[in-house]
Amino acid sequence: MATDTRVQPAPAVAAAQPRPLRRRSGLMAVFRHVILLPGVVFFVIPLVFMVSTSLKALRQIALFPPELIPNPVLWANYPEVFHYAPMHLYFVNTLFLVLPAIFGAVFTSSLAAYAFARLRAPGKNAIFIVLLSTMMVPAFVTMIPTYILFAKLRWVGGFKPLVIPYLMGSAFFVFLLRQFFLTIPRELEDAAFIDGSSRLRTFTGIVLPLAKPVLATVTIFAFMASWNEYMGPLIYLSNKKQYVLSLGLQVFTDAYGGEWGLLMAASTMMVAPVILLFFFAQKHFVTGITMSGLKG
Amino acid sequence: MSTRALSRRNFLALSGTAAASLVAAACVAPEVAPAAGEGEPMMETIELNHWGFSGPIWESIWEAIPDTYPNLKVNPTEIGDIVFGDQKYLTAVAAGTGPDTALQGRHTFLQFAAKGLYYDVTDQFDASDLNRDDYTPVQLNETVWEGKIYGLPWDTDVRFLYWNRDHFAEVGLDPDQPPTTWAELEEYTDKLNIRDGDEVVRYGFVPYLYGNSWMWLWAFQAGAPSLSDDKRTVLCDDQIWIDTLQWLVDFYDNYVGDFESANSFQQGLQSAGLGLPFVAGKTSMSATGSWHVGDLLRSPGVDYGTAPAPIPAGGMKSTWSCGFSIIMAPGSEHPEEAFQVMRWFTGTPGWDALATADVAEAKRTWEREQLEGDPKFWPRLACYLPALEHLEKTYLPELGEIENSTWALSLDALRNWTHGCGSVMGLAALQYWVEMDNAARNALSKQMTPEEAMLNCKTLVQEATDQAWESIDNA
Amino acid sequence: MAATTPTLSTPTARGFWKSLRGREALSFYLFIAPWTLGFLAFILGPILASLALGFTQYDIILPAKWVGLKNFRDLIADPLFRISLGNTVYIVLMAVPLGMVVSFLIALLLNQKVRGMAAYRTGYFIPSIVPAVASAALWLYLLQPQWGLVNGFLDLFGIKGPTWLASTTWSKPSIIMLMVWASGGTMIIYLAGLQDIPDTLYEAASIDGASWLRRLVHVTIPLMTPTIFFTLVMGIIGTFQVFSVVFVLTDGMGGPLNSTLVYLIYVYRNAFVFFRMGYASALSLILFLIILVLTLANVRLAGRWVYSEVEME
Repeated sequence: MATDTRVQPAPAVAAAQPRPLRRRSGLMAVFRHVILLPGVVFFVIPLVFMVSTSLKALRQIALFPPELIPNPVLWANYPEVFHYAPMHLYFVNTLFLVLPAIFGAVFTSSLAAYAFARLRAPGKNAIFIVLLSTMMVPAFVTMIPTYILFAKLRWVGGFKPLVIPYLMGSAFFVFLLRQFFLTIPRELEDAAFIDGSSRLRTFTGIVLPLAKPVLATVTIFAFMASWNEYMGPLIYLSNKKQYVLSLGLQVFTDAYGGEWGLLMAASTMMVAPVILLFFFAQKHFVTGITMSGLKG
Repeated sequence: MSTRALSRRNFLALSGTAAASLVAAACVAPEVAPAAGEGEPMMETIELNHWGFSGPIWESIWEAIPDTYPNLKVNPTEIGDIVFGDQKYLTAVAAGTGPDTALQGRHTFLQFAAKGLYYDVTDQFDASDLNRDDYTPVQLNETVWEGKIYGLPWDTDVRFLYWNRDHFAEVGLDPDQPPTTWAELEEYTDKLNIRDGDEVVRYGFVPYLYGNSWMWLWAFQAGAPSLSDDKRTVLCDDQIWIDTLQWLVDFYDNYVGDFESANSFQQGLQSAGLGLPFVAGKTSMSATGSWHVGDLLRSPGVDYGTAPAPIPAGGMKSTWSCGFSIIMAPGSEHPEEAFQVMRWFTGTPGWDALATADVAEAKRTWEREQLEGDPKFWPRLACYLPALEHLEKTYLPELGEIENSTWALSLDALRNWTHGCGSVMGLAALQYWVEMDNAARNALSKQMTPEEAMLNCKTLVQEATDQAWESIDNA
Repeated sequence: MAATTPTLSTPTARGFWKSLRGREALSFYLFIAPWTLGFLAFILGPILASLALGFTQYDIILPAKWVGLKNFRDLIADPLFRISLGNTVYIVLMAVPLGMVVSFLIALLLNQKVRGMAAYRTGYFIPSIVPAVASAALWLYLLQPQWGLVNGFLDLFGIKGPTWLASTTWSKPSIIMLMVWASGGTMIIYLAGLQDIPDTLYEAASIDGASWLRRLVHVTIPLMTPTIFFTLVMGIIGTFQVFSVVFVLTDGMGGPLNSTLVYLIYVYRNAFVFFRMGYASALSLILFLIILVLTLANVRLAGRWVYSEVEME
């Protein structure tokens, strides 16, 4: 495998250098906040808008220009959501989709990604192109053939079509993880491999711990994708006991739904776990090579 | 049963299981199902799958079905979009895993019925206690393809003019006298428009863009034909269509201003359900659907009137109606019971169950939204006339004068002067819908003359219609 | 996939599998086996079927009828095919580089050690979390020409803002703005990539007296090239298939006057509104070929600029 020599990855240097104390002047910190704050406001507006609408009565939502402050403030919209859609039950069902999807992303996809990043084999590049090309055909045209396939397997009407394929990994995650594995210095693995450790043990023992930031990223993506997935549950599930959150929200947008306050309240509740997950997962973005790898 | 339908069903039954029961169902003439009552001996419970809207209202309706048919249990499932597309139903029926019954939109009804996507229930209809004149005529006709009935019409709506009485009084117009002709509509719009420099503060009236009436309403009033009687020839190149579009273009030139500004004023908000220009007082008149009476009940403070939309010189009082119908899927293993479900759902017991649930919802809504006064409930318009009468007797006395006169207006239209929304568009209904919209927008934004726009519509929709006919004729 | 049993035909096959290289190759196939299984079982068949449907007339309801190249001939004469492809290419050319640059800058900004950084990162990611209906409704308000905040802001500088989504000139830029704003996914990929760069490398560079800009150009960007390559390839694949943003903003129509009719809306419309699944499949086949060629070009060129990119023949 040709390694580009223009840039030296420098794990050796990294290990040798003592870490200087980080000095931060108070002024610099203030300056950073001055840059970060206005930007973040611009990005947080949709959340504010969503929460504001979730507390409004329909007669106020109908006004335009819209008013930012709900009047009256309808906290009652939140408990009322459960009358229309038992979100707590849908939440549990949604986990049945989310957890296998995360497994598929973190384990199955990363196995394949590692192979594409590190191992040499005949036909590898062709397979890689095939992998990428699975993302190039619009889902609208594969939907019916896929459905017919699952109908023949008698999987329609249950969770199987929404779980089993996701366990097998997906091209997007394989590609993403492969790119990150490429940046991990080979020397780390080679040493272990030469010590007689198997490929699989090298992978789980050395590569995966080093890849925490990207695994956190992949977890978030997999979580969000199956959390919000609508079309799959719509066409494959045929029993309201199996409903997931995205499908439950449909009650507010049906032809005779139109309850925008409730829709926004439900959406806020649906988004809250994702925000929390991100808030707590993002700290794993700081455990990169230096901390978990060389110093660990 | 035609041979076409049979071979068609064989194709549908890809999974194989349904095939036997289907053939049986297709060959055995359904016996008159004695409308099972209390006297019946205990029967095995039959579970049927129904795809339609979901949520507590719909669940509680279906919980009431054993009151009439003790042996039936209906499991409702969300069907998703059925107005502009129908992924769940189409996909499932293509793979042979459809439900027993489903709600379906009316635009695409004939197109799907013609291709065998629905079960022909004519024999069951004739054998039942139903009569064809039990239904609003236009809506029943929307479920009929080549003389066969493929479903029962469930609900409908009507489009007419709403006007804001306060705005009328403000500019010196008589609040009790809505415009009745296009000429008066123009005159009133001119008086009701309020501008501040370039800025529009309030539009008197914006045809086409605001409200849900589109070009169909105005063209029907002018007497425009949309389709030949055999449904093979598209007629949107008729001079009346061109003249109607010309009138709309002139109306924008004279009273609205440019199309882009009027569009940008409300773009997307209305269709997103956020901001109704009429409810928000941003337009003084609106030609839109009967369902907005319900929104207006929840937004007290708008003093409004309703009347048939103004008509052109030499035109006729007219409007159009849409809504949903219930069908039986070709793969149902219980065609007899499925028909009972259809009959019940569109009949008085089904409507009564729905209204009861709706009233309970209204109470919750009034409480939650801290609305003053007693909860108010505006019933949807049923297609089954006895149900419509039942709703009127039960709920209209509790409503005010304007709701009662609007109800009467809607019923008059349904009985005497409305059009459908599917049968008028034929076998390429959604193409017709989309191309008509493109034509209007192209002409209103001066990209094409009205004539060019309508001829373009004709070419494209005719092509799609021909293709649909070709596949049916060959099948 | 012949690739899974590649070298068995060669005379030295037995020897090969025992060699170090052979064992490595075997490991490769074992590592990708779960994905390959899923691919063969659930993905390959439907993709081939849908591409084959491109040569048929298929309305979902009646059986598909073979029509050869008819769909492709129709497509050449179809103005909406050209319009939708043109709109999509426009959006790809603008949104992909813009999204990459903006996300990269934000990721740099969020890769500092500042009190409350968790909250900042979450904040910048929010547009990609909030459901499309909610953020679309918000944009409709923000871009409303008369009282929307965007034109209100421009008004401060005496600029009369355009009618944005109602204007055939500004509708595509409006959509691109929304896409860039909601590209938090790309941002966190960069953030994860930046975190993979050892601090010590920067510190070594600092000791050498390198400026921030020099460190960015000589340390950060080169080490980020695998990630940048990923976002470029995926940006092209994903943006050619842009759909839901446009769908919710334009009520599914791609208006005004088809100015935002993107390729996938046209595919969707043919498939599930006009029930012309054969034609939709033909459109998809063309799209597939376009994206494939661009991706192959990307992969071929990767060796020239992407750090540690494996050789691709």
